[in-house]
Order: sequence, then C-alpha cells, then structure tokens
Amino acid sequence: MPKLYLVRRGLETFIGPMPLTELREHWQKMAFGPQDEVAGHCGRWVAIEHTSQLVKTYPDVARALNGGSSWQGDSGTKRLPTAPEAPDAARQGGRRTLGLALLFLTIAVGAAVAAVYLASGGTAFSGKLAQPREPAFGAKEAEALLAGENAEAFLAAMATHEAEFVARAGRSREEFAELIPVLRAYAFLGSGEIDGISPKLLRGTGATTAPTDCSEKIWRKRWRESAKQWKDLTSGRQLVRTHWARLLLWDPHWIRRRESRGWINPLNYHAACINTAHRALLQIRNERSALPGAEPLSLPEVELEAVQRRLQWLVEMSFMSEPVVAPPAPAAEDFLGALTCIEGATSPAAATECRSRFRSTPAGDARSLDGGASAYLDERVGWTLLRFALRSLGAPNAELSANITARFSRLVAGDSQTRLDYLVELRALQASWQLNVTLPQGEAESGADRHDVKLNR
Amino acid sequence: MLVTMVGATDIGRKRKTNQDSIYFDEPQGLGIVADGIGGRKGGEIASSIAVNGLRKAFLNSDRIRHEEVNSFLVTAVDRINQEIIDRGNDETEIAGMGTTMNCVMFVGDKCHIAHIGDSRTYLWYDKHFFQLTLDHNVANFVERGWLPKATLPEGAKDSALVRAIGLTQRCEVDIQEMKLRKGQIFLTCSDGLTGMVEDRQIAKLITDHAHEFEKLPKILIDAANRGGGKDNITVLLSQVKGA
Repeated sequence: MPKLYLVRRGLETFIGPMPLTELREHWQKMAFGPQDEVAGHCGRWVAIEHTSQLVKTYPDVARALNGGSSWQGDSGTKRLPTAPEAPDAARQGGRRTLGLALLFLTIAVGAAVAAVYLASGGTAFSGKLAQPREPAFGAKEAEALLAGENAEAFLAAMATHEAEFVARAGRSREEFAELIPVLRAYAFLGSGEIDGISPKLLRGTGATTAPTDCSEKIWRKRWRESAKQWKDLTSGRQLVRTHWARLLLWDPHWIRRRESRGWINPLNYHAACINTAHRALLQIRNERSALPGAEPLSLPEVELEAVQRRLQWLVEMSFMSEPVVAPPAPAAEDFLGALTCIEGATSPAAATECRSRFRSTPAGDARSLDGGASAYLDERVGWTLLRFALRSLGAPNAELSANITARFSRLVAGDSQTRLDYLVELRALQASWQLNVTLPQGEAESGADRHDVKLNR
Repeated sequence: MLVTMVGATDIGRKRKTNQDSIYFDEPQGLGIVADGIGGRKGGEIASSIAVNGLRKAFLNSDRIRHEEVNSFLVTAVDRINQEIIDRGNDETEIAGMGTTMNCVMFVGDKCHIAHIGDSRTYLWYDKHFFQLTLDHNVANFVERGWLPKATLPEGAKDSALVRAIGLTQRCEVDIQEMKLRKGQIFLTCSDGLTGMVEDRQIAKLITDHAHEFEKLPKILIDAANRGGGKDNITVLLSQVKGA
C-alpha cells in the first residue's frame, strides 16, 4: 500500500490524501505552492518552503518535489534540497567519465567559436548569440515605468512580457517576490486577473479578510446576484454579511494608511479590489443599454445610485491624495451616505452630526444578529475618533483620549463587520498617550508584519 | 454523499462534571463538539450554548449552499460568542466562561469544518490518519510567528488557549473544507481523547475497528479512560459511505 500525503492550502482547503506520484503531479501543475503545508500519516504539518524541516520530516516528499516543478528553477535558481540517497559507486564513476567528456567537448567548441570570431574581426555572432543574457525588460524597468506614471508604456511593455514574467515568477520564491508586485500592478490596471497566476497568489497573504478573487468578472457576478439585497444594506435594514456588502463598508482611511508588501500600485489589495468592484458595476450598468434584444438586467435604480456613489467615494479616497468631491449630507435613511459622511468628517463633532442624521428603519434593531446599522455607525464614529487621535500622536488630547478609552475598553480591536484590524493604530495611541485599553497579545504584531502603516495620515 | 455519524461523550475518570457537549444530526449532515474551558465556572454552560446555538441557527436557516457555508458559520459563531459574553455579564458567577468548538458540516460533496480552540478534527482514510485542524494554543501560535514570545505573560503554558468562544468580543473561527471520498472517516473530538491517547494509537483503533463503525466511540473513549481519563472525553465520527 503506498504512503499517502495530505496537502493543506492556506489553512483553508486540502488536496488528497494522495500517493507521492499524484503529489508530484499537483506540484507540477502548481495546484499548491511553497507556502502550503504537507503532512503524512500521523505526522506534523510542514510548510514546503521550510526545506530543511521537509527533508528531515518527509524526505520522500522532498525528493518527489525536487526538480521538474513549475515552482522550482531549472537554471541556477534555488531548488529543494534532495534527501540523502544511498551512495552508488558505479553510477558516480559513470558520471565522472561523462563529465570529463563534456568538459573536453566544451573546450573544443569554445576554441572553434573564438577562432571564427577573431577571423571575422569581431563581427561574427552579432545576432542572437551576442545579445546580453539578462532580459532587457525586467521588474526594475517595469517599476520605473510605473513610478514615472507612464501607464500606457507600462501596459504595452507588460503585454509583451506577461507570459515571460508569469513563467519566471513560477520558477522560484525569489523571482516570485521580485515580479509579483509588477504582475499585480498589471493585473489590477486591467481586469484583475492574469493567466497562470491564481487569484489567491494575486491577493497575497496580507489581506485575508478581503475576497480571494477581485477580478472584474467575479465582481460583475457578485453585483448581478446581489442586486435584490442592495436595499437591505443601503437603507441600513440589515448588515448583509457577504463580500460585496463588506467591501462597501470598508474604511478608506484604513486602506490609505497601509502599504502592503508585494504591492506598488495600488498600495494594497483592498484598494485594487475597490477599483475592480467599481469598474465592474459601471460595466453591468452600461451593459443594460448596450445589449439590444438581450433580456434587460433589472437593477433597483435608487439603490444602484447609492452603491455607485459609495464606490466612487471609496475609489477617490483610496487612490487620490485628497478626496475630489466632499461627501454630500445624507438623507435620513441613507446608511451608506451616513457612512461616507462620517468618513469625510473633518472633526469629531462633524462625525457625530453625520451619525445623528441617520435613522434606522424599525427592522434595523441594534441588537439583531447583524449588529444593526445604528450600532455599526456608532462603531464607525469610534474608528473616526481614532483617526483624529492619530493626527495628534505627539500631543495627547484629554477629551479624545477619554472618549477612545471608553469606547475601546472592552477590547474591540477590529471592525465588527469588515474585520479590518486597527490594532496597530490602537497600539500607537497606547504607546503615545498611555491609553487605558486592553489589547490582545500578538495579533498587532502579525498585522503590522503584513503592512507598513502610515500613522500620520 | 451519504454520511453516517456516531458519537458519545464521557465524564472521564477524574472530573466531577462533564463540561463537553455534543450534537449530531446524520440526515442534516451536521456534527458539533464543544469543550467548556476547564477551570472556569460555567464551562458546561458555555459548551451547551455553543452547541445549541449552532444547532438552532442551522435548523432555522434555509438550505445552505456551498458558497453560503462560510458566512453562515462566521455569523453563527459571532452570535454564539456574544450570547456567551452577555450571559456571563448577566450572571457574575459564570463570568468569563468560554468554550472550544469543532463543527463538521457535510454539504454536497464537501465537508466544511469550523474550528476554534483545541478540540480537533482528524481525517482517517485508507489506514492513514491526519490532523486537519490547528490547535489554537500558545505553542502553535509562537511556532508560526503569530504570537511573539516577548508578549507572553510569565509562566504561560504552551497548551494555553489563544482563541476560544466567549473570551473576547472578537472571535475568529477557522473554516476549512475538504472534498469527500468514499471511505473517509472524520473524527471530531475533545482534548480528553487526544490528551490521553496517541494519534498512532487512535489511528490503529480506527483501522482495526472500521468494520464495526458504530462501536468506535466506545472503543476510543475506553482507550482514553485506560490512559488516565483525566478530562471529559467526547468523540464524534462521520463516515462517508458514497453517493
């Protein structure tokens, strides 16, 4: 009976149990990657990328995954170390003889090439052979085009080099780390997807509370399928717990403060996701009138406007240095408008005023399963106070300090709906103001590890 | 997929009360094991709230599709967490109670596992045995770099729980899914079993007695009691029979 192994992907899904041959096939197809884990019968989970542990714990797996894989390089790139094998003197002797023969052959060919080159006065091999070995267009060149805000040139160059970059990113962790920021920028300047790079790899590990797939295609599907539920959210009747609803509740200030590793433009996955969600909504809105004869897509107009306004605000806030349009005063039952108003407030008093404008419908019970729209707006006023407090890190404000302490003394370090994590901000305030707030151990550091947080914004 | 479920709970040999709770509904494909946190008053109440809360949420919901499972579980656990906290706030003698929870939910051709704490779900398949869930304890969080050692209070035990229902306002639940295959057996259990019986021994017992599946809960509980029975023992087994 062959030994079986199980692969755990991102602590979420499993492949297997399967024998080594099947494991290797999945590896070659990139069904799982170096960051995923493998376990054997009654064994511990070991990340594939922890090569020394893998060799020690599952040497046969290390051998099976070594070589021939799309993740591992085949020319000078890092490979998984091979588990020790029994010495085979005869085979080694054969290899030595073959090596010597190859060496002599190489010397002979080299001498012939040099002779022809010298005889031609240095003009021979001016074609392909004389091209520099390093690729003319690499990650640095692509990043330079982006930094110069030359999007058209960047897109044109990337269109030519996309397949090459994807192939190189699959060879090794080092090349993946080098190229993935550029590939992400390219993906999200377009439709939010790239052939050969899974949505999960495009997202990365720094945004696990965001949807795995933020391509325009998926957003069009999400918007179409959710249209009937929009009113629940826009009126604050129910805080719908789905990806589209959570995205509409995201805090753009939180997004602006975070520069994620592996992202250059936009600064993080959340911003990228907002952009594709916005474009997808515009597309399905336009499709309605552009498809004569097709069955008309029924979208609730009032709610469509509310969702559209909210997305527009999120895009502007996430991408522009300053908001272009000030948020209008919300109507009494405009939940998303109230949220935008709170986010656009320029003082704690203005945020409270925005909150007070909203009146929940009777079904929006503050103690309902979903927390209630009113209760959630109160919570968002709290996060807004935190934003004002961050502006005066060096100069503690007694009133704000008391207000924040009162709100956060019962340990609410993450947004109850969007699950965006404010631990880094709270820790900064705690350190600066001696805030009397109890925070969970550990999680702040892991959050900070995923992002560089600009606390002064 | 057709799934058969058997389960049992036992007080063990040392404890005066059984703070574990179990529920399973074979036709609906739902199984839940919760372990009230030891040493805290009200562990029994907390585990009971967790199991009953999830059961009610499940029975009150419409038919749940694959794509709705995650949001259903997250919402239900949030609600249970709040219920336990509120109950603790109302009754000071049980304030601070908490519970672990492991839930298996069979929808279509997949098993969805919701997990908080150190109760576990294992997979047995073709004589092989794998632990599917990651214990939410100090040792695992430190090893994975999620919990810096410097932030730990002095004397923190490796087995101390980092996550459980009812301890903080924010309760994160791990949700995993696995494609079903005929012959798989999912074992969901409290640490009263895994603390007393080695994984290899559990695997051997399942392998040796897979043909008398309905007897397995008792066989495993007896093994835990033979090993010392220091904690309450709860065992739930779900066997995939095929289409």
